[in-house]
Amino acid sequence: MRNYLKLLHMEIHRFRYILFALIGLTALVQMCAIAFNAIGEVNKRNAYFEQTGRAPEEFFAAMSYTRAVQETQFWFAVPVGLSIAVLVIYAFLIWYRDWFGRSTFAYRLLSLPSERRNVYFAKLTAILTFVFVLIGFQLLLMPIGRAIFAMIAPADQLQPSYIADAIFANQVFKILLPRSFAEFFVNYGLGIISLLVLFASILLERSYRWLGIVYGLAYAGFCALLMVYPLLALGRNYSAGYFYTEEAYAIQMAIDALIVVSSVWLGLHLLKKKVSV
Amino acid sequence: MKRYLLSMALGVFAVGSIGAYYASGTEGDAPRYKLVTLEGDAGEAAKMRLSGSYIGGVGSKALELTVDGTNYQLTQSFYEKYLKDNRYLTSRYEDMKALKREHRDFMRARSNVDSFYKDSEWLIYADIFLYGPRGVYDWRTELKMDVLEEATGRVNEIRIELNVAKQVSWLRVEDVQRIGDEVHVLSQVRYRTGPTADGPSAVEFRDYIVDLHTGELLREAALVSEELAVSDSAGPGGALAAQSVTSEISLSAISSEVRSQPSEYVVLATSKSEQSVNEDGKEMKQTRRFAVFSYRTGKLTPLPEPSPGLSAYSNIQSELSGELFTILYSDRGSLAIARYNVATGAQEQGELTLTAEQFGGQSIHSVSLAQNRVYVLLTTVSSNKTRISDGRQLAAVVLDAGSGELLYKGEAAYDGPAEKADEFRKNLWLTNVNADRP
Repeated sequence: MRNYLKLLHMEIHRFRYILFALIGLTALVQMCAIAFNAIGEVNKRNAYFEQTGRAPEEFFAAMSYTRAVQETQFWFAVPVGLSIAVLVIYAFLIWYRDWFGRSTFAYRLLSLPSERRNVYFAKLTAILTFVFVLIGFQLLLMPIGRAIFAMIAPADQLQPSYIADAIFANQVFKILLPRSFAEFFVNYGLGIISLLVLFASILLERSYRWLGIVYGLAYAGFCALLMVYPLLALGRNYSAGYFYTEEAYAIQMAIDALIVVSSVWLGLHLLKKKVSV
Repeated sequence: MKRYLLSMALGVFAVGSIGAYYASGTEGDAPRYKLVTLEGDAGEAAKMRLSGSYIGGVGSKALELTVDGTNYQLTQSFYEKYLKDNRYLTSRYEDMKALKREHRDFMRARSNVDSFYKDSEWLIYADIFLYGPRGVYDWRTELKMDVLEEATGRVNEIRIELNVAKQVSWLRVEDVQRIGDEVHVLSQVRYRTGPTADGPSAVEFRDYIVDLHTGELLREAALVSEELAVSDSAGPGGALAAQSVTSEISLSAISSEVRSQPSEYVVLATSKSEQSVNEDGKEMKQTRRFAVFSYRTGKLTPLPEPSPGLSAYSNIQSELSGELFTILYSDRGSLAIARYNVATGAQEQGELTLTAEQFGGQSIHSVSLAQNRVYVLLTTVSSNKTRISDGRQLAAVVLDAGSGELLYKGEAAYDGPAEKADEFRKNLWLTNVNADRP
């Protein structure tokens, strides 16, 4: 356990600058978007007042943070999309940097006097930590954005907004931060399964090199087919499907569990027996 | 330990922030509403569902209001979202749910609620399939009937190739009943009467009678048959002519409200709508005829014509419950109920007409007929919208379909601090009333 924690800390430490850069970029872009939206809205209202001499609230709806998030969702999505892209690339790099980085680090890593599975689980946990830290930070940014919006908007023209509604006003967050925790569990569960399959494919490539690329692609493709098979073939959504919904889902869960177990087993087996430096 | 501070802090932050978000509730600005009983027994409204939206904030949130409170479709549980049986058949009807529990294998892959018959001895599912065409004139029609004997649990699979001479384009089983050893499979069949697919066609009710034990097709009979008329134009250019009449005919069968219960009767409805266009504009005329078919006698008895006043109503609903057939007519100002005894073919009592004012409302927004009850969503101000605002209250009433007696009257209200009640009431829009089916 101690070795695992040490390795986990090392992985987090190695990525810290990129992580903080992503956090900083997200905060900068999203808060600027909210501020500019609020300023633009206030300017529009002031111009109306100057031109007509009438109170803006007679013509404009009350200013709402939820609406501001809805109107700026592109700028909210840009840093989120960038973060996702960086994390996907890093899911490869977290392995390959050990081989292709300085001083053949992989040699030292695999020679450590501890179980090699610690390396595997430390890398897996590190990626998940980065994902959930970025999600957590996004949640933290939402009330900060609301406070900035409230500072700019005139108090008498401000409509109260709930954070949950503001989050749901953005299409990207509907997937990343669904309203129901069950949906959150399923969405990220699928993400974790994909990560496990990717790790197994990477280790296949590290074990068998050129042939390993073929094995890795075949394994990933097979797992993807297996995962979508119940949805497509068991007629879950058809009124006359042979399996009842709960049975189709039980099959889906069993397949998912099988992929998790087989991917972890394959990854650990390859790391222990096949991977060479 | 200090050197691991960053990792620990990040881990705690991630779990803490996500956990706090979901623990604090994610419904946002979704106020709770309740139905306040103004009159009568709240138990009568137990099956009533008022649907609409909360329109506060940005966008709207769909909701359903019952005597138990408000149900938003925002944060569904894991079960609701992923495991609830989304099949219409076994999620909507209580009797079908019970059948699924009792006969799980038999109920697999069943999709038509009208295809079931159940009594203490037999459970039957009959459906008709139209196969092909492998060639233009190669249609094949097969009646598939699965018969489960309750005493033995044995299932007899009966397959009958139907010899349909006509060019069938569509068919559907509307009702299945057993009279002695004979199983009646009532189907609606649409077929072409001309040489081309887009030419003239006809529709009919056809009763296929099958021997329960041998699975032999004993006989078949056409009960109602209607030519589906195409537009009848006075001038050149068909529908574009200066004067034209377009008519549409549809047939429907009203079987017992509890589909899996035995019934000797079925009501067959023929609806004809005519739209005429002339120099004065469009005129729409709709006529409906009902006839009772007795499976035991094979006799088709037309029901008495409704009074001319009832024909003017724009909406119509009907149900067959036991030997009572109820027709509910409604429009914005009033509703009318006519009831018939299907065994005698006679009207049970005089037609009952009730106005919105009689229940303290000014207009009727939505009605629903179920299990001898009439559910009505009322507004107190005649309007196209049912938004609750100052002086524009929304009420729901439940009436006895036979006597018109008011059994329940309730009002939608904000379930929260009184000082916020008016503000939130303004943002509730109710559009429909429905009742859970048996």
